[in-house]
Amino acid sequence: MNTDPPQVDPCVDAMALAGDLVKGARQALRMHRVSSEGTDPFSVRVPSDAVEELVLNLSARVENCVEQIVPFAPHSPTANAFSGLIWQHVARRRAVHRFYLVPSSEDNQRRVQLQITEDRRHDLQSEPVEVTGDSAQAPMNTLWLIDDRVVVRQEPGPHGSGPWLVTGRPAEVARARTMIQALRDRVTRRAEDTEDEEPAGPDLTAWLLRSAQMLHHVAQMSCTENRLIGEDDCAWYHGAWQFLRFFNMVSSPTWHTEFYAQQIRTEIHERTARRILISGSADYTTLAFVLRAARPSNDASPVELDVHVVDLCRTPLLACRWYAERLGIKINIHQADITRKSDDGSEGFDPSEPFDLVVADAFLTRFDIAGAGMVLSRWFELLRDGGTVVTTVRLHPRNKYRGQNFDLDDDADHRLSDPVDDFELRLRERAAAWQDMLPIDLETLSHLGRTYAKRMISNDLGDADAVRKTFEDHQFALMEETAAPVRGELFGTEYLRVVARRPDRSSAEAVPD
Amino acid sequence: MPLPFDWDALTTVPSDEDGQRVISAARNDLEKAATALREKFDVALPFRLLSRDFKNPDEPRVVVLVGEKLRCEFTDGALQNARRKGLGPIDLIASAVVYEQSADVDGKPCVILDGNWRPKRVGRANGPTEAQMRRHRRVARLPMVTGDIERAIKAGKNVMIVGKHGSGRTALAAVVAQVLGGQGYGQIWLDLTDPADGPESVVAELLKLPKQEHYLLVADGLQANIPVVDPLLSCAPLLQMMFGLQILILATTWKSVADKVTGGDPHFDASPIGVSAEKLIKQMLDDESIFGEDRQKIETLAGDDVHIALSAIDIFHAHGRVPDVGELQQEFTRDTDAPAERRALYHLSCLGVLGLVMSEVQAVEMFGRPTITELLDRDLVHRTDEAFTVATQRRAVLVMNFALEHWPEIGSEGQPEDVVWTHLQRSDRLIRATLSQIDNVVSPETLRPASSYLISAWDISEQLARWLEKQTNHGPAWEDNLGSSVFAAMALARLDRPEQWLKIAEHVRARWTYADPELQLPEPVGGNTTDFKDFQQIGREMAEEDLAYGEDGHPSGMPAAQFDPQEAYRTWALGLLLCFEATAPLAYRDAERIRMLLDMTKIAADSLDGYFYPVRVPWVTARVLMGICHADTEPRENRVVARASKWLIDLASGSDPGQVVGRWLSGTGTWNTNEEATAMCVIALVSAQQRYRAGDVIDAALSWLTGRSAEWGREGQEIDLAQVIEAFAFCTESYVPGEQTEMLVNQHLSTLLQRTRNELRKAPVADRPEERLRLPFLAAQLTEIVWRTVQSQFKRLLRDVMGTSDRPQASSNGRSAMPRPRPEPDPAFLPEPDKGLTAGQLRVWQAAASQLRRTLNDLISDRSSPGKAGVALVQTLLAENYRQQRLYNELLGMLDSQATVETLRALDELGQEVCGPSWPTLPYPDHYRDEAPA
Repeated sequence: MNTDPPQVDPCVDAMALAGDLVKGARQALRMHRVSSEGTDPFSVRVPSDAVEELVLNLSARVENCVEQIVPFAPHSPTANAFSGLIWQHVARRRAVHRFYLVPSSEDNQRRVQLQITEDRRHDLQSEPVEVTGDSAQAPMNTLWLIDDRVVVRQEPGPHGSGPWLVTGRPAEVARARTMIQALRDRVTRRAEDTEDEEPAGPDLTAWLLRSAQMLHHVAQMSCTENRLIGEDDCAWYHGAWQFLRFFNMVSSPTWHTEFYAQQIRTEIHERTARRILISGSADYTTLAFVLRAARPSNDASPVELDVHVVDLCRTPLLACRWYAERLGIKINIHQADITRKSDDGSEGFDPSEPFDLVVADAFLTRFDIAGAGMVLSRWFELLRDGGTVVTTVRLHPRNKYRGQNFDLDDDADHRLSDPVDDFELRLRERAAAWQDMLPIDLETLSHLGRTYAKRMISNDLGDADAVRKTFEDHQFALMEETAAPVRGELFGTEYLRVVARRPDRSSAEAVPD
Repeated sequence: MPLPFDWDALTTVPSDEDGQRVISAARNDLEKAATALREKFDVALPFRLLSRDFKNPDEPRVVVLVGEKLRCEFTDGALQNARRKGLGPIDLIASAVVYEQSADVDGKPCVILDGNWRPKRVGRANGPTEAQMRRHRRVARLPMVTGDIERAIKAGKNVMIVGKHGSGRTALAAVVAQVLGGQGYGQIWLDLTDPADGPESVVAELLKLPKQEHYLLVADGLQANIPVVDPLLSCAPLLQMMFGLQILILATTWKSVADKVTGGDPHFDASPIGVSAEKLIKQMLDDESIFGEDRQKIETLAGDDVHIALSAIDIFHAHGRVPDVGELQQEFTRDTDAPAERRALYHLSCLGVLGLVMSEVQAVEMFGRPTITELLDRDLVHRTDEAFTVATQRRAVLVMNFALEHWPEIGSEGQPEDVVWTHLQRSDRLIRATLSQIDNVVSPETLRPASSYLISAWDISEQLARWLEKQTNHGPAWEDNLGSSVFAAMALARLDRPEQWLKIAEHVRARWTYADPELQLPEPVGGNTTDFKDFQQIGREMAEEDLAYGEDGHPSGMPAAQFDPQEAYRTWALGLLLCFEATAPLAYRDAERIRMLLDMTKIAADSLDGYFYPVRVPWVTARVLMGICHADTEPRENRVVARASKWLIDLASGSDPGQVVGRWLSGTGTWNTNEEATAMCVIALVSAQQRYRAGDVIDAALSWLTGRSAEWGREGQEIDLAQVIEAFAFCTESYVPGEQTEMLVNQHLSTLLQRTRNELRKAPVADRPEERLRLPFLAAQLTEIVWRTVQSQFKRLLRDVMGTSDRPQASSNGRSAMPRPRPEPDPAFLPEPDKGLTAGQLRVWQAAASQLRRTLNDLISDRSSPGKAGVALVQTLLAENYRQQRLYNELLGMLDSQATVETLRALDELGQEVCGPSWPTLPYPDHYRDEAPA
């Protein structure tokens, strides 16, 4: 008889010892699931990697109709291909209505139309809704309203990996219904608008979404000391610029779209301007206005232009070149100081021929009065006789400060007394809806915005009379000058929109009274 | 220059009188003012009456033309508003000139003020008196610098005099202004410590000044009101543009503020001229022929303050020797022994430390005119504009320290930051000005790198307050929801809206009863409030949670089936009612109600473990604990608090000694999140002053919360967000966990502000958990966060000003910034290697001393809070705490390896007295250097 104690399999023993720890891990998992999934009997949160199963389960339970809001991001990975396929199948037996939130651009318009055509082949009714950075009608996250009783929406998360909330809570359903109705109304209004008006200026929303992050990174390397921006390098400015542009937080030609579109068009098509100088540019927006204006109409070929962009910093020049290349257009970029000639030093700008047109947006207030004078002198020299400057100048005396008279009740936007905080919070509000589509996290963006608001300098060149006089003192004849209020960056303010001409001494050019 | 006229005729018209009579009367007064000024001289900015405008009979107007350029129209409503607010005719016109233009009429820009216009006091532009000028001339002794400024102004440039506290900026500006005044420059002097000084003040002065070719606007102390800087500096070019007035600006400020003003948008173009106290003091001493050792002593004593130097020189000349700090303090307080005078000096010096002043009206109201007159006559306080202060800041620090050290009755007035905070709340503009300073500036030399969002948090709190006011006026019962009512009331009390608080209180007090000693918990009168439904829902979610836990069941050991929603609801109500009654405005505080509720907590607490029902839901215990700590004058002595705190600590400590869990489970499924529950428990423990017992647990909890920011920062989780931020703010004040924590608070505070703004804009959705009380809760939390952050920032600001960067006790108790001199040890008494405390023992004593210091700080801070400081018993306890603090500081100075047995025993006894059971057992040396061991 074998009296030895039974041999314990070491593996079994180890497993028994591990059992308690594994049990502890399971308990941790249960606790995690309780807190992440929730215990609300009318709601559940599903992790993003379960979305395929979620779609399968929900789509099988649709009784009547699914209404969907889907951000349209053609350049992102096709993570939703399976989901899209399932909904197409559902559309064969149930009503599926979809609104694509499309960051506006011509390119996106074409792509989304292709998608819509494909949807319609599967009986899925879809409509595009163009959105811009500051006018997103709904958060840029997917949302489904199923049978008008359950909402499924993806919460913001890093790289679009946020969980999905499925809820029947009346408040959520009501909110989804309101958003969908607003989109529907917008589509209806667009359809009823029979005038086929071309937008005046270039639509850069999707472009900015593509290039903002690139420019942010490039700026860290290519921005150098820039006396017009500040003591240190201008990376804080150029690196943040396009994100702020996207959300319409900063002064740009789009604040004066009709003015620039009309004036540049007139100069190109009526006054045959071909050699065009863009004097100072934070990015490619001014260039976009010029290139758009070169097209007599949407379908016509653009007039061939000889465009030159000058800036002290390489970063915006790279941005301009990138943009032009994507349109198949050649431009000339010059990293130079517009106030100097090349014989003054290596930074000077000394072209071989004069220009027909100078376009500069809110450029003169980068300088003090003396500096602005130098710029005007130089523009005068760079223009041919009869050449034109199209520009805007901020009128500081017309700043709308909150100051002592502010009253928080009076401002529907609930503005704050600290303008930098107010700028940052407005940026956050606008960016919150785009979190998943932005290539930058909200905190970094917020910090960039705050730094911009704190460091941005705009010099006071006086009121309209003073600005007018400055132009006249530098021999320009003012053809047009209109003051127009804008919301402003930190404060509401007004800009003077100026068309000024170098008198044509060869002909008796009429100068307006 | 005093105002020429007031509303003599308008005052005789009853307020409900028909508009036409109001217009006629006002017109008479305006005409009288205009005529009187015209008869005196050619006015810089003249105005004249144009007509009465009765085009709209419902809204007749007086029309005034200013500077022949700007048309100002005033309706009867605006005129009545101005009269009610104490704005005379000149101030009214000045307000209009600066107001936003509405339209053009007959080719002239036009401003219309109607009944919707809210008038604000216009600060006076009074320059220095002759007595002040005499002193300024003694200070401003660098003719080269004066000359530079004059030349710049004459060349048409604005100038900014830049320097630290006490560098002589104001004196320099005054001397230059006086010189230029004699050369045809009309003078407009603004002291920005008056928050009402601004562009309106400039215009008001121009309406009364004789016409000159140039005007010099002296803006003294831009750092005192940063929000007004942009509109003030921009009004000069605006007035030039509108009326052709040539106004140059001479501003004085700190370097950090000058950088901000000249470096941002808009860019203020000014020539900066730096002033250095060191150079001025050297010149002073040269002029007074003081050299050698005396010179060195004066330089050391004065530091960076030219005014201290001047005082020291005066004393030196009077007594033949240089005073020390104590003698200087004596000089600045001059044996003041009348209690009212001491009070006044203490308050004014606390304000003076932050460069704040007290208006004449307020000073007379608080201390009586005879007191103020006496102090003025003895040159112990100074008049500036229409206010009083102790200036300069360094002098204010010396006086404040002296008061705290030598005038024991001062303890009942509160800590310096509490005095300042109470003062600030009198004026919305003042609080904005000061919050902006704290937000933007960390020292005279340095801008704050990251915002604390204080002023924006305050703005949004004010927006919330207005929303709360409207809702309360509409329905003070808050839809019969106790939570909403209480949180709304707490916010309204904090934001100084006692009338609205009372409206809510009338409902809450009628709705709940707890007077019957037989009652174990408060009982709703007339049925449950709407909150009860939430507890029923909690029960359902608990059941869901139990399903998830499976056969193991909930870790608390309490299944959902045992949950009694009624008992939980009433226990929670107990906590809320305590919070409500304890934070009542002083005028409505009901001690009897508080006593009844506190008595009830003794019955409601679990007899074995000390928690409050239910055991599964620790945040109910936390809520009751918070309520007790608000209400009880001595929470640390409260047995209920001690037991409940221990229970919470044990819950987060794990079963093994030294183990920490670091979070509390909500116990209610996801009706409340674990993050919210954890934040509440942290706040409760810190409120209960359990930081030392709970130190590890709180550390772990904060660390856990930091890692969970993705959860509590989610959209829709604003209540969690606010709760967590408050927990961090609470801990930052008394904990100093580090820069990273502060960054986290600031970062998430901006998220909270942004989301709260959004919430204010849209209608609340009543369906999510805690939805009904969302906005009231956010209001209560935001105001609490601002208060806590301001308190801790004030302490730092005080430390910056006093130059004691790493000694919180020095700032919180106002001890002198000068370190106590340690006598050189007599070599004969140096310890032999085996005598005195060993290095290890000394470390233990030093750690214990830190514990004692922090406990005292907590006690003083808690007892100084507005809700408690007025209570007599609390005042007595506070005085005792100050005594203990003074003793502690004395003993600390003697705590080293050579400490005598007397010192160690005294410190030990003090620690036991203050810290109670949490005071550690301390190691005594085997041999003392001078005595046999105990």
